[in-house]
Amino acid sequence: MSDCGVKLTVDGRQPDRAAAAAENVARNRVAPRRHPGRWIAVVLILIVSTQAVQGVMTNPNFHWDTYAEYLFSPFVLRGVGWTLVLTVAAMAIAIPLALTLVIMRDSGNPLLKGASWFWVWLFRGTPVYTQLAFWGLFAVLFPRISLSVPFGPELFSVDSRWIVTPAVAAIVGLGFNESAYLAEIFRAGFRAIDRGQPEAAQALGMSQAKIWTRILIPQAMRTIIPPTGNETIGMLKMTSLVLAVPFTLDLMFATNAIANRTYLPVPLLLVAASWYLVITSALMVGQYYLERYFGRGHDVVVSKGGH
Amino acid sequence: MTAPARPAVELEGIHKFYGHFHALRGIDLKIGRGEVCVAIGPSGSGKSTLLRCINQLEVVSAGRVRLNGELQGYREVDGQLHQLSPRQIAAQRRRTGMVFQRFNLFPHMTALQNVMEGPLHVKKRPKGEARELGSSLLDRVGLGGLGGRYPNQLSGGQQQRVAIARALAMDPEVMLFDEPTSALDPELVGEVLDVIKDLAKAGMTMMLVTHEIGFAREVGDRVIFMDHGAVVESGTPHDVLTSATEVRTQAFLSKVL
Amino acid sequence: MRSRITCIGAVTLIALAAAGGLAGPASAGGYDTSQVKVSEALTARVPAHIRAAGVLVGGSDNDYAPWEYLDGADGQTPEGIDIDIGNAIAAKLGLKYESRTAQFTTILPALGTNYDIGLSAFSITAERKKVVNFVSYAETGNEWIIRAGNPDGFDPKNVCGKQIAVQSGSRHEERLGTVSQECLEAGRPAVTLLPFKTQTEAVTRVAAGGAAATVTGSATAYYAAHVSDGALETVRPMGEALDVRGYNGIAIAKADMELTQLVADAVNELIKDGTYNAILEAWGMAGVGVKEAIVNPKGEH
Repeated sequence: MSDCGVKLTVDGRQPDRAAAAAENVARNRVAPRRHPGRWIAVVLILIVSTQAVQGVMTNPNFHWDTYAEYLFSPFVLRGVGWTLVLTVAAMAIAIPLALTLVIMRDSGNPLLKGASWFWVWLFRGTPVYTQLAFWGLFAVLFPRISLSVPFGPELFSVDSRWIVTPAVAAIVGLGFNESAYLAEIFRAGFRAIDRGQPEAAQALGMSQAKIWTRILIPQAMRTIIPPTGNETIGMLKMTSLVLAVPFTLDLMFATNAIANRTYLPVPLLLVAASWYLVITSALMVGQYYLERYFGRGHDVVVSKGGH
Repeated sequence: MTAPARPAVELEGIHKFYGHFHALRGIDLKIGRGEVCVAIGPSGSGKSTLLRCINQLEVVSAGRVRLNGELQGYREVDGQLHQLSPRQIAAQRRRTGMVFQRFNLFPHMTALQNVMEGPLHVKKRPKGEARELGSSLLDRVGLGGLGGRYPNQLSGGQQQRVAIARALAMDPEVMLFDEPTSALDPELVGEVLDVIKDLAKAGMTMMLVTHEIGFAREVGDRVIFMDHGAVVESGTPHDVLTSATEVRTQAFLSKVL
Repeated sequence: MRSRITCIGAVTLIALAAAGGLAGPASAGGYDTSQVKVSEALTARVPAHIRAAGVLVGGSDNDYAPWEYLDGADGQTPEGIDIDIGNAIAAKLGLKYESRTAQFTTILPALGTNYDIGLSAFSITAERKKVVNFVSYAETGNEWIIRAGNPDGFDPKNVCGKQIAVQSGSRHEERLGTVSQECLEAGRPAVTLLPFKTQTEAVTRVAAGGAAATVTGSATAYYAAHVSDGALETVRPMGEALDVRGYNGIAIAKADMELTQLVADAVNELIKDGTYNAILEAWGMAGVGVKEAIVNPKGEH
């Protein structure tokens, strides 16, 4: 109930008065608005989705028993493990490479600039399947890897097959290809940094290396992480192409092999899809936390004043 | 004022070309120790460019820059100039401190971390010492207790004061200010100018590029008016601001005063 | 215990080897099936949906010369022994034959839906018989393919530890698994398998030097060696796992015994009226012929 005699001066320095004043104001009574359209939509969606779920879950063509049988089979789990290893290892190669490529591109040296550009052009311009096939044939094209003094004796030499094994070929092939795409993403991230930042660092007398590591890279991370997270999730799926090498321990090959034996492709495809979904979800959670860490100072809510 | 033994800053015959554009046309300027030199003039007159030549953010096309007698950016051997290595140039830059128009604080670090950055990572001081220095400098500029805030949680005036503290943390011989209050809301200009005034009183050698004519009058020992890349008029604040002799100076002042 | 090669079997093998070696390039073969006479009795038994379509659809990977491969003026037309046999069967049933190119491992699961029959040099195996019906129509052995002159010193008696290329999902891949197991039990290193989607890719890898050898059906092996212009040669396999002969079968959906019997009867008609042998002769493959088409024959390849 409002008391028209009360002086309603709301003074920030006296919160009790403010709260009391707020209590005295009679709020409007408003009848809630109806949303018939929303309810109809909800009902329709519920009907359709229930039908869909039922159509899938009770459908014998999906062979859910086979799905359950192989979901945690040792070969499948080994495939999951190897797929993760390939993904992590390939990104572990691609990210430092991409950073190096960006630094090379940014240097004044025309040779470094050209080399960086050439690398990106080559590995972005050819299909990754073709690249993987070439890596699979590395030991055929270059039977021996040797280190020697120019015009001098050979220091050591080794059969390529011991070094460029299918696993190595798969990881290096995926990593080199990805580095070209990441280099472009990183370049965009660095371009987005205000020019004043490296200038302020230079004015402090910071060395170029320190400017990269203390000032530029941490700031670029904020722009870089979402697309890089995307690329990692894409890499997870791209690992299935290592069949070109051929590398046969990844998840896709494992489920295909079982499907070929049992002549039941559908449940095994679902097994593979389920695992890819699980890993992708885990990666998404990780990305969220990474973004939060590198967003500090930018994404924090601004609160002015406070003397 | 004690007469300086060797000027803190000597600019001798400075020319700067951007392609064919002649941005600085033969500037000669000496700033003594403890002296405050204020540069005023219209946009594009080259004031900021000149300032940035002092800490080598711009490379001069002709002429010499000396800081307390030491040639900046080059070794001179028998009249032939040899470029210094990037490391040597970085070492020279540590002797000046610069405050930018748009603050240029590092957004991913707190205010205290910004101030500590120089002593900690450039001068390689121990962390405790850097933190103490940082805290005391923030106190000095009136921001004690706000060290944990990120730049985007501070007002413009507060950010600029952090920037000043950050520059001071390197214990520079000369402080350079590039339009320090131009990006600030009017009510925040005062707090920054107060800090600069204190610095001047404490005897810091400074060069200031600014639009605040009143401030030039208050703080400057010397005022130079620049136009189209040249120093048109130079003298005490009274000489330049009250009784300017050059026509161009008078025209400029009549527009801004 | 696997049955050993009998005397008759050995003779057949020699004949096959001779046939394969002396035959002209299979691509020059091909039999004109337009002369095949329709069988009224069989036509009546064609399932309604196939008769309505007028086409008998066969799934095959079309990358397994000389049984089936893509060639012709546009490089896209299926040709080969299986294609001719398919044409002949369809003609007998008063239908047209369509060979649909598919990935090898996707054919058997899709019988009865995407394809009426699977005609892609399928080896009849116990595993596969559980899932589909077979009509035997040819008999072959296996053969290794290696680089000519045997530069790596490949010895069929001992393939342990070697890199062997193979078609993914083929019976040969399975058999090599057995061989590898035997190696491990004898204390020797396992066989390193390099699986490829098609047999052609496996042969290419051998030719490039990336694998010591590949093993596949003998007809295909001879053909590959023949067209390689002296780059490849064949070697007779040793050991129980690989040194065997067995049937190739036309695959039909397990549930459709009617169609299975119909196809068997059609093939037997073709054998009776001489078309079957004429086709094989045209390809120089008389050695793979059978006397009779059998539904789900015993034993396995």
